[in-house]
Amino acid sequence: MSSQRLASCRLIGSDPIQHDGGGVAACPERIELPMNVDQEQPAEINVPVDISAALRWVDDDRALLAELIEIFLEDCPRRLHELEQAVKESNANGVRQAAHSLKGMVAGFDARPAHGLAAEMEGLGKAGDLSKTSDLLPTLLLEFARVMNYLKVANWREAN
Amino acid sequence: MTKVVVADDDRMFRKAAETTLRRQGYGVATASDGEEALQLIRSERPDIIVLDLIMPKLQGFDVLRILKQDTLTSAIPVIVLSSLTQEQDKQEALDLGAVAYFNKAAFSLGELVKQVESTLTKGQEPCPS
Repeated sequence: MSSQRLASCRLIGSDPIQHDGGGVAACPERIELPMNVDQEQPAEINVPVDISAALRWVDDDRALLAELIEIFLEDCPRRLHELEQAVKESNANGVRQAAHSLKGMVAGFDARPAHGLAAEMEGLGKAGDLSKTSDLLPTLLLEFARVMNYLKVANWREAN
Repeated sequence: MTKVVVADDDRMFRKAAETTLRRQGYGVATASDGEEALQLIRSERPDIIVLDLIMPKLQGFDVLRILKQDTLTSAIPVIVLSSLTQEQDKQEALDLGAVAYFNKAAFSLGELVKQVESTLTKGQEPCPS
């Protein structure tokens, strides 16, 4: 597998999300991420999603997985925006709810880093401990951007 | 036709469960929040319910509590499929009357079908989770 080039993590309103695969996808909300991760990374080392696990989740139904990925790519930016708003407004229940939704959304893809960050954020919301949410948010947004970009560009249909 | 109601605010999971269960010959209706789930269950009278716990408007715990207090719905088996992983959440759902509790992160759609089949065969007998 060739190395994976991650997209610049600036997801913009109705503008397209740019990535190296050349494709674009509409994104309903503006999400500003804190850094540009436009760098080469060996895919084998730092892949954000386990496509084999995702295929096991859907019992190897690739057509269904393609539909689910499409839904994920449509819904994930909105959930991230909800989380970002909840963090800004110090809304503990909103943080908990949005983070919980995000955690569930990546569960089937076995996106462990994203799942773990969402679980951590959910825990902070549940505990009402909002002092750390602003620090955690950029890392979470970045990881979910990696998941979205990977699912857009990954040649997962050929995966075993 | 055996009817299943799937209640989950995650559109992706609803689509996955609906597609998989329909393929197995089940009639499937879906709800995206707790209030809609209660309405749907009361109108459809399904044979079995697949329920998420954290949902808008009315949490799954409350849906479960209301269903089990209503003689019209109390006998319908409920399988809880949630991303809540704490033991106390599982115990609370089982105490409220769920027949089984599963963590979404460790549960395939094939296992969902098997669990639905097994629960319908066993009636309300709790299944291992």
